[in-house]
Amino acid sequence: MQATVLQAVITGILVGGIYAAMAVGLSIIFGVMKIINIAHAAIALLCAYIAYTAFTVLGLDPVASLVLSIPASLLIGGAMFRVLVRPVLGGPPLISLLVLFGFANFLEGVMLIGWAADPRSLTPAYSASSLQVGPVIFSVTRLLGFAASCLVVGGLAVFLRRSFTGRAIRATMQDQQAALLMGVNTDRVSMVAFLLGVGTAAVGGTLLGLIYAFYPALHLLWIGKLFCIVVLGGIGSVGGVLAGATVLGVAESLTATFFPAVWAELVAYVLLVLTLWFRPAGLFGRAA
Amino acid sequence: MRPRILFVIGATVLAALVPLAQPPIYLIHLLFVIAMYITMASAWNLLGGFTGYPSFGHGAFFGVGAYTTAILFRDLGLSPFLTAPVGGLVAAAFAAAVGYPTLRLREEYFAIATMSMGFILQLVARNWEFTGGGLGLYAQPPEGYDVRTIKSLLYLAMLAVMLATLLVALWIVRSRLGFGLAAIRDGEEAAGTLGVPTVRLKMLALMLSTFFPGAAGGLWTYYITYIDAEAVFEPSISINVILMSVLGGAGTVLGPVLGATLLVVLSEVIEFTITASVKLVLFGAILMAVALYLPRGLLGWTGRRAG
Amino acid sequence: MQAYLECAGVAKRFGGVTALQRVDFSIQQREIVGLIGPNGSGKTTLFNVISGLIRPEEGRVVFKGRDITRLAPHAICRLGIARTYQIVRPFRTLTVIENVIVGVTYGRRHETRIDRARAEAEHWLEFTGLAARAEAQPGQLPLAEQKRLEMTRALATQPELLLLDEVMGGLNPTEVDACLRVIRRIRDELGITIIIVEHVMRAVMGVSERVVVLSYGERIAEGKPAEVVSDSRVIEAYLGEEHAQALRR
Repeated sequence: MQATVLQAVITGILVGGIYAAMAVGLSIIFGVMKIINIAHAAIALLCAYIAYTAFTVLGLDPVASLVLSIPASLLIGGAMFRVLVRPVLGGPPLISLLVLFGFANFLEGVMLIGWAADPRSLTPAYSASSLQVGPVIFSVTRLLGFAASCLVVGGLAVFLRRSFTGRAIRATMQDQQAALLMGVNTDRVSMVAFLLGVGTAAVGGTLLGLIYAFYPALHLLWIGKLFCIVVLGGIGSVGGVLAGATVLGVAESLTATFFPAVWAELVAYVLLVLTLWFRPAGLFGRAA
Repeated sequence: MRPRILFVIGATVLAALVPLAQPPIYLIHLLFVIAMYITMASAWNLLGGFTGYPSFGHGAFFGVGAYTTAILFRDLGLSPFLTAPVGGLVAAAFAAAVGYPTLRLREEYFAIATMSMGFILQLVARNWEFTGGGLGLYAQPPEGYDVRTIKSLLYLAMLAVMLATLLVALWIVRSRLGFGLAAIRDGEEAAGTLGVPTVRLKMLALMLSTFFPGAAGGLWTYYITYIDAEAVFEPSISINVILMSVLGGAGTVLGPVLGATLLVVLSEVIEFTITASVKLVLFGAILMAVALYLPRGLLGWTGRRAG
Repeated sequence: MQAYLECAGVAKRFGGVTALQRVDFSIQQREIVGLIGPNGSGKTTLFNVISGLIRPEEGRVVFKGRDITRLAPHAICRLGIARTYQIVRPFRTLTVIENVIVGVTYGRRHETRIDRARAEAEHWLEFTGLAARAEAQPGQLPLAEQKRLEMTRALATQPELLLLDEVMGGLNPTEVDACLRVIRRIRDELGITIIIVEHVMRAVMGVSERVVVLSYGERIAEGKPAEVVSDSRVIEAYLGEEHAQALRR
């Protein structure tokens, strides 16, 4: 019994890491621009599909295909920012929600046309193999995904802390007016933050595609999870996102172990509602 | 004010007379779907347009209503005229349970929380024996009636639900409640300090806004005679409803009517010529364009409160 | 004598920042009290606590003998406290008179019939001089009139205590004088007690009978305007240590 729980927890932590890679972008975008990128999961999903095509057509390993999907996502993100996001910045929240929701559905339609509704998955050679350490079995894909996610999230954290742009981003997150007054080009910062967000979504999506089967409508479920994580962890805090993602990953994993796996999908929603009810600022964040 | 009530009642009466002319059954079907979407878009608008809390998963309440009547039919064999309102009540109760923690917060959080709702419900419905699991549920019409008569009767029932929704919207817009909801929409904190009981009013709007889609879903079960999780919790229902209201003019009464009519007709035209996935692309593009360039919709252009 | 409104030991923290440190603050009925202090001293936070928008970590707010600390904003409005906002927040899709109708119909008057509420709203607009703008959209009004609308809306709830948050920011001297006249009328004719937060010194000093000074969330001085203005701690708070020393020399 203990071994089962341990296994579930470990799996949960690994998957949580990947969730974190996807969610951290959402958190930064919201922190800097006060916009909820409802299309975040759809973009991540699109990159999973790009990885799928790269794999089936070119034989590219999914992680290697990030070389394709990250630039693709940045291009899309750049176009998105110019056409969809910048015009609605600072306006009523509903408008930005509608624009991005429209885009998410637009992407879903595109994915449906390109790849149909049948579930796909990324199945490179190692997708079935696993490592055993003591009583715990690590699936290679989860390990790989976790490692890649750590790199991404860690890299992002370092960037935010050390680089000039990163600090500008953090300043804007804390107080946009003050940052403006100190000469920060908040428009440029917003663009960079958006691209960073979308780029990390690409990574997260590809990695998740390694673990779970995916289909176009899935973005609706993923965005719920991502939002749960951001709310749990508090806005704009990378550490918070990590913590929130881990909590979600472990909770889902434990649920899936002791109940029919399908109910694990409910966990994010339950956690979201509970957090909004009891601690809307999240476990670690400041009051939004 | 009065011209709109007359228009609404008049148009509904005219629509109710259509079956008497024995038109092709397809026309009754089209009108049924239009009436259904007018109901749902108008109901969405009560919460989204009037109060400023856009639900991004409103289709979930349609599905809850549909499943409620399907289950009631399976276990008790009751008629739609009894069970449809129950479907509405169950949908509203569900909304209250889920809405209470989320409505206490800001609009953006509410929007996101509602987005996953339909998906979750679809999962539950598909995997729970009580709801028929993957096999779905049936609602067979009683023997001895021909299809046309049954569909026409259900069509009339749907018109009644639609009329009720519109009359409620018309009433709200002129009433004290309407002022309170508009205040919440335009400045919730200020509304609170002016004495508006924001939580109570939001909950009221939520329940009104989910009752009618629930009833509509309840009727749909009998109309289509078979439902399953995929069909009834389809995510596009949610996007359709938002698009219809926003295109027509959220915050007005007739905006959703116009938007629903336009988009159902457009959708029927497309389905004959193109596929469902293209429809998603198209509607997504329309939603983006409307939100960016025509945020007040076709009817809301004056920017004035409807009233 | 028990105070009309009393804040006792009110403390509020936001994350690491202490906005209010155990502030004691009380006023008597029919007073006009000025609340001043440099930016970030906690004035608006105090208003937010009194009007129920935020809960303090410590302390109580007592109004007419009743503890209102944990009440919801609308309940506090019903008890007789109304406020305006530093950055005006009119209901933009409603007309000017409709904005006021919200206050009439949901405030203490609780008028449920809209036609009667409209008549009453007209009366309030006349009181503050906005009657001519009744059917305009708030966005079309100049700032001074938007601020007046904020006040009218709050008055329409028939408060006994009115919190005015920087109603004169951005106004020119003529507009400031007009606003001061309205404020005095509010107290003299309607008997409403007023707490006014202001940065326009001449205004707040001119109309207040008593002034309370906050700095970094603490009350540092209190008294008649003339006393407070020459209090070295106040000067120091606004201008900084060196200037205070320079002035003392």
